[in-house]
Amino acid sequence: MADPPTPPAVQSRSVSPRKTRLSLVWIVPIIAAIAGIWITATRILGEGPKIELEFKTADGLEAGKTKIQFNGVEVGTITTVRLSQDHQRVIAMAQMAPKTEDFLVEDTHFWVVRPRVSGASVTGLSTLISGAYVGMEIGSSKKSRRSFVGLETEPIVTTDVPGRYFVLKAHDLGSLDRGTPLYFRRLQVGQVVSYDLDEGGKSLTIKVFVKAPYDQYVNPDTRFWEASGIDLSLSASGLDVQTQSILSILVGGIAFETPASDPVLPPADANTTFQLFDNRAAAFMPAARNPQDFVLVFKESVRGLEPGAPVEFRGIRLGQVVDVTAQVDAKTFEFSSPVTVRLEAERLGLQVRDLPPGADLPALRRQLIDSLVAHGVRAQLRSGNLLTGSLFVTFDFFPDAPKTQIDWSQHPVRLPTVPGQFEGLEQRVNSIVKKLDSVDFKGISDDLQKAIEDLDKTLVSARDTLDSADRLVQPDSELGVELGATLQEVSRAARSLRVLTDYLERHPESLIRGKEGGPK
Amino acid sequence: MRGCRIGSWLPAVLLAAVGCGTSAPARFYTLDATATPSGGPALAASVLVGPVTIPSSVDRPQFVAAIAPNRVDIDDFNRWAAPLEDSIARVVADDLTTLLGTPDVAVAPMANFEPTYRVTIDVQRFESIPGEAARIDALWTLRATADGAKRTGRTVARESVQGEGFDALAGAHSRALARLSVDIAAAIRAAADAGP
Repeated sequence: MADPPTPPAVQSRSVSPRKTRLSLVWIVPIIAAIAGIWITATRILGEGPKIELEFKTADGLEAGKTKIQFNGVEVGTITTVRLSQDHQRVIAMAQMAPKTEDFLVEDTHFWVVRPRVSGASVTGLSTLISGAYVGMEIGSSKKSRRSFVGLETEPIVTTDVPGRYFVLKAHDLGSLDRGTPLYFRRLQVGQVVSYDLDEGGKSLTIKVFVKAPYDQYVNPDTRFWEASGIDLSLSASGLDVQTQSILSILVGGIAFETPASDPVLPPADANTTFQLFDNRAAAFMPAARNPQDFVLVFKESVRGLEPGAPVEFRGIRLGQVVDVTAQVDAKTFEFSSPVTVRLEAERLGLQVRDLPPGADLPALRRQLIDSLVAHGVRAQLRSGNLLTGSLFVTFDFFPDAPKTQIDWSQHPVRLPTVPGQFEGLEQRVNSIVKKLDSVDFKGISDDLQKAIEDLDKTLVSARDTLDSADRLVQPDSELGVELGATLQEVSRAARSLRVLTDYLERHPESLIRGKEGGPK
Repeated sequence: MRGCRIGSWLPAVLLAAVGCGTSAPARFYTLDATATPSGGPALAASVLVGPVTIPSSVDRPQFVAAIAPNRVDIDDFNRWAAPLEDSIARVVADDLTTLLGTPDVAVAPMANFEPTYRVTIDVQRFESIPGEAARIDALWTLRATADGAKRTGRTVARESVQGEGFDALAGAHSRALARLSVDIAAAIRAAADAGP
């Protein structure tokens, strides 16, 4: 290849081969570089997204070790843990597995799984050995996101569980907690998800989750009540013990039920707000429809009559006692106890549904009460429970009660009363005395005399009878003689028997051989 | 009486029914009234004799012979024809009829009979000593039905046996009963005289 006679050529020759050698030498690094770039590129391209998680504390989080799991499958690793700029929070960077981009949307949640023991459940026990891990819940949003604020606690209900959330309003939390079970006919169908004090601090909002398919049983008329522990109550109705399950005795619970009598309503919408009652009785106390307050003035002691005591009409509950006060008449110095009761007059048979639309409901109610009072309906205090001395108010018919009219101009309207059972005793004694007065004593004594005369005659004939009986048993009578003869016969038979046994005792052989010897 | 016959026949019938051997025939004795009229005036009174009680050792059909002190022999082949109580009552009644001269003497029980006097006799000893004597000790009570006045007496009669055998003994007993009747008759007469 070398050609010396031609130096330029040689020069050019000498240059050309050098260039060729160089390019050959660099091929390897270039290829290596290309490969490197390709590998890097593929790695960068194939690597999953990096995300940023913000937590309150890094307790249990370890860079490079702590995994992110979804339903138990590892989908990422915490790479670094550092403090936020204001030092209040912890920022953890995580490397997600490839192809997890669609997990990372607006409403995806992350939380640190740590062992957690609550009354109702124990969760995250495995983390005691394996160390904490980050759990996640995939949202349903379409908007992608890379920076998340982690939840402090694991959500009770994950979004993939079908069901509905409802909101309960309570005046206190009782023994409820997150995770407290929700019972429907003693079947656990959900949990308390969260609770929060309302603005103003006057009530609590409790969020509960009801699993499908049980959520369909929650309709707008459903009653929720706190079924915590043992609900024991002693009232005019007697001793009442209510429990849900052993677990609820320990940790409390919420039960719900839908009154059966109502027409079937469509299931309630999610996040419908319900009232949380203290107990089942309160929950099922029929929601007062058009309740109206009335005043009943009792002259007797109202000891044992408490607000909440039932007001009944022949055993049908009409309402309850709202207030018991005392008043004294300045002129007569007469004490009385006005008792305010809240009644639903509809329960006395006025069917609102049957009324034509546009009917004057208050007027109809007034008419009904007027006619009842005209027929002798009065309120009376009665002892509901001798053990506790509880009283209740009952309406009943007292046809003998003095006539009265209701003054509808007053507010609240005053209904007539009659004295209680014991207070009525005096009246009864009076009526008995009146009856005694009207007894015809003269007639009775005449009758008595007649009866005595008859008795005299009877005695005479009785004496005759006794006389003949006497004659019958006299010694000389036929019966006496016969009796004497019979007794004599009996005595002789006994004597013969005695002789025979006496002889046989002395000579038993005579039964076979006859009497031995002969007359001397 | 019918009862008397049944009472006596029952043992015999039973023995005949079950016995295969033969028995020697028994001899039966009776007591008889032997009193002789006392000669006194007839008494217009009625008397009821009975009941009579006898010691249980002799209250049996057989003759009970005292053969040694504290020892008796019950002789199965020499028997009283009637129970002794009945025999004694009848013999005394028979004797009294003779002694008092009244036919109205009956043996208790007797219906529709209103006696003036009632006589009850408790025979305390009725001994038969073969070949020797018959002895009767009896306590008797006389009671007037009208006023209830009572008289009590005791008769001890011992009659020697004239001859051998039980026939003689039965005769001696009859005589002893006659002596008893004489005492009772005397008491009745005394009562009748003392009375109205």
